[in-house]
Amino acid sequence: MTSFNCGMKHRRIWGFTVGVLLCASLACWGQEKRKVIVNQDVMGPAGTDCQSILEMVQSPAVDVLGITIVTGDGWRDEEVAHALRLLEWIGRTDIPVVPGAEYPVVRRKAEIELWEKRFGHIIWLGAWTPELYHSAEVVPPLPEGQPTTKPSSEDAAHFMIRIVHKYPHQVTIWEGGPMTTLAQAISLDPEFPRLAKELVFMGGSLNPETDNPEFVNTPRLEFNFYFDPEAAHIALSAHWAKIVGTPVDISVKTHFTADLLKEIARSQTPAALYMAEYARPGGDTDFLWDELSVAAWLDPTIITKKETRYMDVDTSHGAGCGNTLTWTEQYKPEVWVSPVEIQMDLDTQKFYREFVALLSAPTPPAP
Amino acid sequence: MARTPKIKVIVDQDARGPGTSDQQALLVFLQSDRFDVLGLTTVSGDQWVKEETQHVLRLLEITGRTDVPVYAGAEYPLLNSKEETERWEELYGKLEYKGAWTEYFPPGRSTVFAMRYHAPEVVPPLPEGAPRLKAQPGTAAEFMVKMVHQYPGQVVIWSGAPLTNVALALRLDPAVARLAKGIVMMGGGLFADKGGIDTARMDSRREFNWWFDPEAARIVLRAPWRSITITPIDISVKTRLSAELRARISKARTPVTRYLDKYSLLGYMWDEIAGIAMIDPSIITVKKRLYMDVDISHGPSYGKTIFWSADAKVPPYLRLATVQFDLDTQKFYKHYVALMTRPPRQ
Repeated sequence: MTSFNCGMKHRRIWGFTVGVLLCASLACWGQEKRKVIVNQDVMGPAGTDCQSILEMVQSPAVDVLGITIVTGDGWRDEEVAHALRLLEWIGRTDIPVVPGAEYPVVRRKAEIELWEKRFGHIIWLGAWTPELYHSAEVVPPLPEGQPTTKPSSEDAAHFMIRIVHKYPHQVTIWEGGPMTTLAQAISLDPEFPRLAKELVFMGGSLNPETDNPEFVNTPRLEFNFYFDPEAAHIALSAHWAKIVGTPVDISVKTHFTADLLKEIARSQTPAALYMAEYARPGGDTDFLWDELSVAAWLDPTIITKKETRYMDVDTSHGAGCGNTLTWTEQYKPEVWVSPVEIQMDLDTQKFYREFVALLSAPTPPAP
Repeated sequence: MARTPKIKVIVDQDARGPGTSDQQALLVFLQSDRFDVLGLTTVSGDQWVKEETQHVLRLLEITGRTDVPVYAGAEYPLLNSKEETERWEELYGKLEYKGAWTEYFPPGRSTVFAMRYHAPEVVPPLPEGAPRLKAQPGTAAEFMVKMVHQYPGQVVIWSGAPLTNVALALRLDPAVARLAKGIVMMGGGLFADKGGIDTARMDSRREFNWWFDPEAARIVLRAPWRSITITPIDISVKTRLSAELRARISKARTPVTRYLDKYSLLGYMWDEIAGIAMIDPSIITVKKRLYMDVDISHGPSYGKTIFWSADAKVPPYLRLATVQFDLDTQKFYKHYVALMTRPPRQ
């Protein structure tokens, strides 16, 4: 356990903003590191999936107990390779990469294609996007090179169950992808959500202000939820101590720009070199989806507006399949729905500063 | 005569107890010499899993089969819940039987005793005595995955229960479907209101195992098993554990028959057929190849059986199953009595 006593001990400081970041982070005042399991659908290299993992691993206030991999943006096995390679690059192969769910609870590619014929084309289907499709077991050559390290032989659901029993009420479950593995863990052990500290996720969408064709006609449809609606329902209906969500509404207020990348690339640390080599700012629709969720978890003062909504997901397989359902207290249904603290607005400049600082910093060593 | 190798089987059951079709089906596997029972797995359905596991452990002590490991499985179905079911009933009508979610059973309806609803963590005192035997650590789903990998192509997964455990095993490792020898299940219903004993008013498509956890049934029915065998309620309702049959069994005076004499219920033999048909397939006189599926829309037909004939043009994700419709009851009862009355093991 490292204790940071800002302003008193001698410490090498990597730029003024890094120092600000360290002091801003609550955990630097001599408190224990925050335990987290990172659930992610890790397509790469770089991009929102990898960049959010970098934020977690780069933060000196965080103890990443494991990275669990779920099919979503890509197939699980390919994603496992991206995650392993990322950790090799920054020298943190001590963090276990644990394979999670390969297929959603019931949704399948063939069924979604038939759904599209009746209800309209879906722009982003992750691993099932026709132009990018390959079968589940294929791991194509990675631009960043194939990893030499191996994933854990334990499955992610049992891994998470074991960890929350080992550290009751201490472990944040962070989810950046479809909630399939979380749903597995909940079904295998109903104590799992009660023993976790909280659920923090990127997902769902209410009414984002954007011209983005993905949301303009279907504002309630967001990938993590519609890729596996049953899993999202199972996870959101469970009794967590606290649930925090980063919906599309706030994601569209961020952008990953060439300027941000240029600032990161000034640094010569492994994380910054990885970004310089592989990150490709994508223009107007390149939102910092998962990165914001992590940054807000690390520093809640980034969020300037949040509210509580009761949340569920449409599990009918008709036109509304996968839609985000929300209610305020007064109008919520009589069946159990969980309250979720959803983030609606942010201080973008603060977020960008902290994001750049994290990815520019030297990687903290293994504990 | 060459010795036929034993059938390796994992027996998955919502093992309501004491007695009833649930325990009797387990006895078929425990008493027969035809099976290598790798393990018993329990799941919530007819009762909650914690109490069912205790009834199973006690049954193993009574039958002298403490060599068989028990793995406790899922406490709740994947999505369905008591709450959702009660809301469904307000919209679409009261259900006659809700297993662990039923508010009250008069004596003889669920077990020989009256049963009142209780929460899942409650284990009411066992009338047949509390077991000393303990369940194994680890989840039932994990156990299934481990076994099919250890014995590829050899393990039959038998389920007389809501399919939650099997679905979880498939989700942990989709290869389970191809590695298992096959799946044999009691579940689903097609035309049960016709041709059964007193079944004219039955809702023939709404069968308990599948409506208790429809998403689990969906996952299992669409997985690429080498073979799927289904015992629907259509065939179960052609059987009857009669007073005469029960008396015949009681005459043997073994620990098992004393247990059955005290706790077995007269009525349909739901799960026993699926086990005995594995020992002697000739008891099945009518079977059909059908595409079998289940409705998972959360509307009036949530959990109902859907099926097509083998020559129908269906989407590529549907699977053919062998579905049993009729049996030689005399042959079946003969097997059943022989199994239940076999001399106790040392």
